[in-house]
Order: sequence, then C-alpha cells, then structure tokens
Amino acid sequence: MSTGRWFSRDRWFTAERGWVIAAVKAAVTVVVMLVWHAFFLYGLIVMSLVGLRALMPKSETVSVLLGVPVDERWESISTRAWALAGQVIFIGLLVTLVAMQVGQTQGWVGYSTPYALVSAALAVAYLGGVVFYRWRQ
Amino acid sequence: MASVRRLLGRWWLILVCAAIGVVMGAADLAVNGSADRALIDFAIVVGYTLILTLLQNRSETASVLAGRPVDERWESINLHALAAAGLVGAFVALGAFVVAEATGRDWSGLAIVAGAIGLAYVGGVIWYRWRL
Repeated sequence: MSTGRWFSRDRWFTAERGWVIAAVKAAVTVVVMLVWHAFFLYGLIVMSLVGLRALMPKSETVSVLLGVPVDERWESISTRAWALAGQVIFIGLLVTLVAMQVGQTQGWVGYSTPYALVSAALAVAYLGGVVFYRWRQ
Repeated sequence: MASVRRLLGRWWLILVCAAIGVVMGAADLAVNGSADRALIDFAIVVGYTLILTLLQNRSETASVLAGRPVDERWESINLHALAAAGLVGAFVALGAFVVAEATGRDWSGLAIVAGAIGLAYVGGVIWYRWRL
C-alpha cells in the first residue's frame, strides 16, 4: 500500500480498491445519463417556453398560450379553447376506453389505467367546477 | 352537436348514453363472459342519464350536467367548469407522465393524452381567434 500523496496511482488503482473506482465511474455514468435524458425530455420543453416568452410581446396568440391573455377577448378565447380541449379529450378518452375493452376480445393487450385516471380527473374537475362556479357566479 | 340535440329533443342524452352503455356492456360480456357485469355497466350509464333527464326540469345544476344550461349564467358556469376540467386534465396527464417516467413505468398512454390535450387547446385558440 502506498503511503505517499493522497491521490496517487499506486494508492487507488489497486485490486483491493477497484470497487471505489467502479462505484465512482458508475455514479458519474448514471448522473451523465440522467442529465442527458432530462435535457432531451424536459430541456426541449423549457427551450420552447423560453422561445415563446421571447415572442410574447409581439404576439397576442403567444401570450394566451403562455397563460397571459392581453384583454377580455383573449381571455374568452382561452376559456373556450380549454373548454373545447376538455370536451374533445373526454370524448376521446371514453372512446379509447371502450375501444380498449372491445379490443381485449380480439386479444389486444392494452394498459388502460392512464386513460381511466385522466378521465376520472376530468369528470371530478368538471363536477367540482360546476359546484365552484355556481357558488362564485 | 346542437343540430343532433335538436333532432332528438330531450331524449338525445338518454339515447347517446344508452348506445354507450350497450357497447360497454357488450364489450364486458365478450371479455369476461359475465352477464351481470354487463348489465351493471349498462345500468350505471343509463341510470345516471335517466336521473339527470328526470331532474333537469327541477334543478338547474342537473340541466347543466345534462348538457342543457337554462340561461346565460349557467352557460357561463358550464364553460368555465369545462375549461377548469381541461386544465386539470392537462396537469394530471403531465404530472402522471413525469411520475411514470421517473419510476420507469410505461408513459406512452399519458404522453398521448397530454399531447392530445395540448393539440386540442392550441387548435381551440386558433379556431376561436378566427371565430370571435
């Protein structure tokens, strides 16, 4: 065992301490992979948001997409667009759930939990919204 | 949708939901071979619809849930509730997507749902920008 400098080849690159090198290398690999993966998955979303934010002062449509409608007309457009998205998605999810159930008779293997989860969230949010806005308006 | 409602009158909701109930019941019968379960599927959908249809003349809330708001205030309530549901749906889909991704589960279904909500919203903005 070396008794010289703390970081020396003789001290760490030995058969007994090989696990330290392996652990450090594994940790670095995991971190690099996670960062790389996160960059591709979420970095693109963040970059598009930054791009939209840069365009916001020039475009009313972009300001609505970022959740900052410039006036009442654009507020109405945003509300109606969200309502449309809610209806379209709810109908789409119901059709998908029924189609998956029918598809199982043909031997298809599908994972319907995500669709059921979002359908339930939409239904509860709609009912909650009716109760809330009834009380507010 | 409005023309279909006019054509079928006050029975449109029952007819549409009865059709959905039949499809769901038939699918359940074909998959599980249980007539009881199929009947329960059908009864839940049609029962809910029947209750709403019966109550819609007595309750304004029921009339909104049945798709027939009685006045402009209830139309506005319906619109805002639908918008809130769309927003919540988008957050749930995105949140569940992140959780599924982080825990190594299959996230493809959630990505499809989140993408569809996003597309529907952007399409809605473009449509209503042109219409309003």
